[in-house]
Amino acid sequence: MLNTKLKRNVLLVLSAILILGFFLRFYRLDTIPNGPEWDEASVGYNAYSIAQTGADEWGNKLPAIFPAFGDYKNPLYIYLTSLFVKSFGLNIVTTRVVNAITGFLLIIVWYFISKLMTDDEKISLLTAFLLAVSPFGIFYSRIAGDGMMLSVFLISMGVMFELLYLKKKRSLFFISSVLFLLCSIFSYNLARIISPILLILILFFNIKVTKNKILYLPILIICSLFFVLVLKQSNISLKSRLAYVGILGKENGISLQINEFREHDKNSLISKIFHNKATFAAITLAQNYVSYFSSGFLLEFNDNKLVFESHYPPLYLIMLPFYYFGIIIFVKKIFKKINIQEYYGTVLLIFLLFISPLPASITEGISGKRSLALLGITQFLIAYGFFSIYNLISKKSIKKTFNILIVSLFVTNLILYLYFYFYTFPNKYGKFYASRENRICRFIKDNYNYYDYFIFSKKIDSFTYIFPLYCLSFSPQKYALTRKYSQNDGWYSINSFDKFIFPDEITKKTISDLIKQKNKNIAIFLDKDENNNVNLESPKLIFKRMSIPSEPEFELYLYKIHIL
Amino acid sequence: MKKNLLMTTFVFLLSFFIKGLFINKIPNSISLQEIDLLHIFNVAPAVNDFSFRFVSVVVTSMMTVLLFNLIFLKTKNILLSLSASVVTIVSPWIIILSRTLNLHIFVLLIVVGMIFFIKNRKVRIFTIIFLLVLIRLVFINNNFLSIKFESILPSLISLFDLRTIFFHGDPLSPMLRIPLTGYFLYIDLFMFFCGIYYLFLSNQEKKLTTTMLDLLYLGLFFFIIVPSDIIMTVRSELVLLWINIIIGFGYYYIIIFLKKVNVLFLLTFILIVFTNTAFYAESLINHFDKMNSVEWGYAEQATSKYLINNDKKQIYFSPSSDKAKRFLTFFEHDKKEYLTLQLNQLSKTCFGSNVICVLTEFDLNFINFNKNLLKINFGNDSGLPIYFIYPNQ
Repeated sequence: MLNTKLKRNVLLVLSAILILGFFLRFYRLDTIPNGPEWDEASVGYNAYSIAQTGADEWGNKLPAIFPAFGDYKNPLYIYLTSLFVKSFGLNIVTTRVVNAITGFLLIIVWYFISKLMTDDEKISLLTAFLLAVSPFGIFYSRIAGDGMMLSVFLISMGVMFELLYLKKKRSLFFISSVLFLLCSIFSYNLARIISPILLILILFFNIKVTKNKILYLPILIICSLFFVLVLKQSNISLKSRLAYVGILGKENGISLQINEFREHDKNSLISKIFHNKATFAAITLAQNYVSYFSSGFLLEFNDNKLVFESHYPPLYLIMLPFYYFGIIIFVKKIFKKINIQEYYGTVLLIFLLFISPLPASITEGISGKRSLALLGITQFLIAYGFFSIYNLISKKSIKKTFNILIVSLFVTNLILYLYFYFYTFPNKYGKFYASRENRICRFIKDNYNYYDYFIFSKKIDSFTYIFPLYCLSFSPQKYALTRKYSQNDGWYSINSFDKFIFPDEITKKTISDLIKQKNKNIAIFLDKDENNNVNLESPKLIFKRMSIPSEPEFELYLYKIHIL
Repeated sequence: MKKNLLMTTFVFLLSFFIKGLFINKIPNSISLQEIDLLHIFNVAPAVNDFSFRFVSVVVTSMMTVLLFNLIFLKTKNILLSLSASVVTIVSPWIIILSRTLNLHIFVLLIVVGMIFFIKNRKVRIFTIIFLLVLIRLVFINNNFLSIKFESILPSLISLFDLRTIFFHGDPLSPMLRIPLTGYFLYIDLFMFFCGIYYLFLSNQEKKLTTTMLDLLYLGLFFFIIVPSDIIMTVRSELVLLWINIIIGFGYYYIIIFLKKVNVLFLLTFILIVFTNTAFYAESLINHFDKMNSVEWGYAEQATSKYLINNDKKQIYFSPSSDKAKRFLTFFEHDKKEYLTLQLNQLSKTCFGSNVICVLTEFDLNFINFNKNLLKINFGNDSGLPIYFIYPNQ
């Protein structure tokens, strides 16, 4: 009787948490953040192209990787999005919905992981709740630039099924775990580092607990097939990404630093031993790695213009001590006498915690999105740490005070965050989400038939071409037929398609070339510099400046031109 | 007892040796803060004589000795006490603080001394709090309202940032920062967590745990009452000492643990620690002065040395070379006349006869004078000229 009541209460609380998590991920998904931004538009259009033709924007049939702008996007998110786009059309919600759904499902997955690890409803419910209201959980569920949240979800599913396998020993769980981890490799780059490590660990653990060794045969076949697919895509994509963002990439300061130190020592042997690419890269790597466990990353706001980085820190201030405490207590568990299944489960989660910052550490700067695999395990450890401390308190009165204090501080933190996310964030940072490009797009959508040409230069943005494609749901076949492009340093540069022309910069020459045409209506969009430099005065054309809203940092000028 | 005395002597000598080694060379110049202090105590050393820094060496060595005895008193464990003391001797933050004349190190000595000598916990804590407040009011700033409460939380977050502690050091006090080094060694990060585990979770040293918690609270108290414009290393010195001791416990714990598991692991560990220490020592010896000489007074000191040996009685300084004037006044304050010119007086006075002017690049640009024509100049340790002497003689 008591057990049923308890179960009912747990179910009730869990449902409330899930409703809250759902609300925070789907409420105004189309407007917060503004968008689509460049990558969302690219992902959305490629998904649309797949849904319509089975090929991506470059005409590749069911590609294993999407060249997109030249940045080589992972395929899984795009394929999943194409299902929604096929059913509900191309729009911002269908573009973002995969991350939103997986971000929501992640709450359930971590509830089960916590339950499997601790068998404690309180810890599991708190983990789920913390994940439901997690600033990173919310932020990354509501953007679609890449499949970060999908990737974290798949990795977590892999971990959950492995824990289930360790507990129940059903082959299906083992296979599912392997499959989810393998799939995650195709969702976002962080999984290319984390999932293989987890896979190796799981295969190693399971060989010790699996009685039926024949099970390894299909698993190894599946792994090999995926491995071939990964090899096919990683040749191009991973190398190009690392050359661009890696700590030893072309444009970072390590070489300069090494030269400076060597100059101090007049290039002595000791200096060469201590100051070289290997040592400096190792130090940078270690520094980056440690950052992901440091208060600077965990608690400080980012005042940046990056659309993929949360401006709010991943943790609420009050959680930090519980997080550190949780880590220590949880790690301590492996030195205790526990059964082999529990031991493997604990080691698996510890591995997940400590390898999660690796993808972000090998790249320059501090990145929330590349370290997103910490999501889930962080909340679990906070919950674990919280109840470990709570259980240490023996006096009831102190327990009560502790509860009141923590809950009130947490609620204050939460309210401040929600105010930030739903009010401050869209107002302060919304403009960075391609606001200018979207304004151009809205104008094009409303006036497509009236004009013969729409002209805006790459000074407005290098990848502006994607916005008309996205907002008009432009036919992929027609786009492929009319497109003119060039390739520069691995990046694609679209110069024109259909009615759209994208010169490098709009100058007097651009206008004089236009005048050669007769009787045309043209919409021309200029940025501040172009507007100052271009002179539209000519007897061969009539022009009129039209009003288009823009922010001071991203000034936009629109002219309607009629060539006589 | 005899063993304890022996170890105490060893700790003191080791500390004195390591902190006093090359004290006349690293840092290779005097700072304005040191000049101000020496001025208060009416001490005027020769230009290249840094022996006054032995005061700091002795004070911090005494503190280390007290610390060794304090930990031994609580634990009766020589190796543990030695481990914490040795880490306190060699840690980058304290090495650099011990190599510069400052009053802040007395805070460390007083607090450790009080914890050691006063047996009653309540009396001890109240006495230390009273003394810390007194130090704050008398030596740092007598206005308690200068505490900016809104900045306490961000600075606390910054203080406990692992990257700051173990990799960067104090971002706001480059003067006390060893290049490529934090307050502690890289490897100490791991030792810190081991120390935390050993002290707070393994329940092996209950007496020590209370004392360490007291030290942490006192450190945080001092951090909060010291105004935020005081450099982080000084504000947080008691917290750093706390972290330092924890790291020492971590080393002890790991050494014991590895010795039990496998001696080969222990040797590997020692090799890693040695490499890290060598890296840090190389940074201190070969790069500290080159990277920080602007914050110290390398160029000013060299300028002073030149001007002291010059027989001109009147020396003119531009407004931007005021730091050089302060140095020269300190080293030789009663033999010559030192005057500061306004910018618009520079060309008229300096190009007149029988004077000597100390100018900076800014001044030369202002009077439109080609700096390459001035052969005598003094720069920071890496060679960039800062002060130019007119005329060439």
